[in-house]
Amino acid sequence: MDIQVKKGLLEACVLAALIRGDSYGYQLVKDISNVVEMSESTLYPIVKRLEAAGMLTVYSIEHNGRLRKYYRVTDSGRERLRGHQADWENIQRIYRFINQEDEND
Amino acid sequence: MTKAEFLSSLRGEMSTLAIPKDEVDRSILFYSEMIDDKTDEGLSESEATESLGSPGQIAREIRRGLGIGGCFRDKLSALPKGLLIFGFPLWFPLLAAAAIVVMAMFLILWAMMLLPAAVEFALVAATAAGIIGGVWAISAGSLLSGLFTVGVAFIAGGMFFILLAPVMKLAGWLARTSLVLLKWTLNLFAKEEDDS
Repeated sequence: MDIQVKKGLLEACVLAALIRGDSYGYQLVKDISNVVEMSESTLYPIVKRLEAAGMLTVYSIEHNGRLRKYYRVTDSGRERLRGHQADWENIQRIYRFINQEDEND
Repeated sequence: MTKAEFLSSLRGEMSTLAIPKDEVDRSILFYSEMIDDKTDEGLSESEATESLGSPGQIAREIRRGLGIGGCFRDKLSALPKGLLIFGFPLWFPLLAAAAIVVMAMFLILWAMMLLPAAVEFALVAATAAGIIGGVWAISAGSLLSGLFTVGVAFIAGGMFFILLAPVMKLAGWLARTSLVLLKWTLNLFAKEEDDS
């Protein structure tokens, strides 16, 4: 997949995963990798950016004698995800064009 | 690689790339946790570190993510507001000087517009005054000086009409130029649209 296209989708994937419930880094990598390939080094800049933009917050919970960082989506993050979801119609239309399905229009 | 070796290598690579300290610490925390989670799940330390890729590559990606001015942008946002206040004697006079220059440019343009207008106005006034004065002089008996005055009035009137078209053109050009200048000035303060 084109890397630019993928970058845009991964951000939405992270938000969508967090809507289902708060999660931590490794769990996010696992869950999202079921749908689209994502590595830890790809996840890191995404959560960094989302946190800087106020779309998720971070908190720590003790686990096995160490602290584990959890991410929680914010209202602003939910709104951003809604924006991504609303793009679906447009994306489908664009792909019809790319796939040359509307040759006879 | 062991976890310690990986993290130490990552730290070293990031320092080489002059990544700011707080960013280094943040990324080390992230990857340390990632390794812990993987080993919790049953992977060995070497498997865990291997799955993350090379520290050099990770460091380069982080550096790239910070962008060209990234280091400075991070440092700038960490600047205490106090510095802005202390720097006031420096940046304020510069800003004020720039503002005065821009205002001066506008004033010059408007003065250039007022001058022809003033000339035209003066000609109208001369025409009117000349006609009134001349007619009065004639009726008071000074035919020659009265006629002379009326004559000058007509010359003034004529000049008014001759100059009218060029003056309007100049006024139009000056109005457009000041509008362009205004837009340009406002653009300096406009934020760039980002469609991310």
